[in-house]
Amino acid sequence: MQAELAIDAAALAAQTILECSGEIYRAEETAIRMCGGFGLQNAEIICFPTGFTLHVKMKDGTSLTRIKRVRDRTIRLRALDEVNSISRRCCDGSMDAQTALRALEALRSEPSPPNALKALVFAIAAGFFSVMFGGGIKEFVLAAIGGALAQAAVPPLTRLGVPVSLMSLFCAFAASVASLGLMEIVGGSQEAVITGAIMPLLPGLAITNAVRDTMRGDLVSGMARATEALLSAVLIAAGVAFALML
Amino acid sequence: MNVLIQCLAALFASAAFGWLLAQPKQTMLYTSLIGLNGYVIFLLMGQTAMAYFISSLVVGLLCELTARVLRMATTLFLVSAIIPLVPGLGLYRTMMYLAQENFSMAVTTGVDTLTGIGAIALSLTIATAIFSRIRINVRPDASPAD
Repeated sequence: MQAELAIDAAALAAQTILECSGEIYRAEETAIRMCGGFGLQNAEIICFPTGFTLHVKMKDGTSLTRIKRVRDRTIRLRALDEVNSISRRCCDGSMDAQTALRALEALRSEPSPPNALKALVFAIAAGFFSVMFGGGIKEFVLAAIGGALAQAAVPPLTRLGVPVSLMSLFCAFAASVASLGLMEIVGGSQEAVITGAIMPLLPGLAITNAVRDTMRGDLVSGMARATEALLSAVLIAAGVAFALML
Repeated sequence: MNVLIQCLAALFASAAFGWLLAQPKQTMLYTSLIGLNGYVIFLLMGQTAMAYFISSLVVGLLCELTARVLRMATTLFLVSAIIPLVPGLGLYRTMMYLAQENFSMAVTTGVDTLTGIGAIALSLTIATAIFSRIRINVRPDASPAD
């Protein structure tokens, strides 16, 4: 029973890391370390961005296995850090499996910030990016409006059943159309505005993760993430191109 | 003066981007400063492929170092510190030329953009490789999971 709890906690930790877009080796090492901390020495895990298999061979010859398919991946860096500190406490013995399981579940059920707030921060980021690319106050405001629309478009698009992988196409399109339309009226540097508005959409995390996974020898996952990054960049570019061709 | 404003904008942009990715609050200051640093180097070196390489190498090394000193995961720092360097402008210009059916310029800018992304990936690889065998134990209880 204790072993069941331990492997559940380790599997949940790995699952949380994968769902929050952590690196593969982090998910693998965390699960193995947590198993070790709970006294399960012969643990083996294989992780991909889309799922993992965790297997523990017990001393009496039986074995425990957990298989999880990871479907929704979001970016929540703070959660990665929390899982890290939970696993650390499990390793040094100051946290048992039951507590770790509860802490992980609490972490996973934390509500994400309201979309209006996200749209606001997206707008601020977009505005500053457009200033970074040589825009002025006018460009800041225009890019902020475009960026806010890009983020605000996510919930209605999700309700319409748009797949997550196509989301950046529609977001980039919404941002570009909005800022192009506004620029028809008030003018401004098109380059700074549109680039600023799409900058926060670009797959920076996917690129860094692809590099780090490949470096650690997780070749399959590295390639998968590189493809993800490339696809997302192409979709954003396509969204902008559609808007420009209108 | 203009350049100064652009650099300050890079600072705030990477801070806001970090918030968007739900980055831990105590890392925000470091990442935006490293992001600013990278962008300044990038501008000073004249926005060439070499500038991409050097500036993101500096960003990568600084992030690895900060992550080890603070005992946190490197990714937490890397993502929003590198974002000012991601060639969004090149991406946009490529699409602009494509939409105008100016294909020769589109190919030129497209290749430039791809080179930029490649340079960033390469330098991050090098930064990770340099640090992958180094463990800085700031505190005695440091575990090697970083």
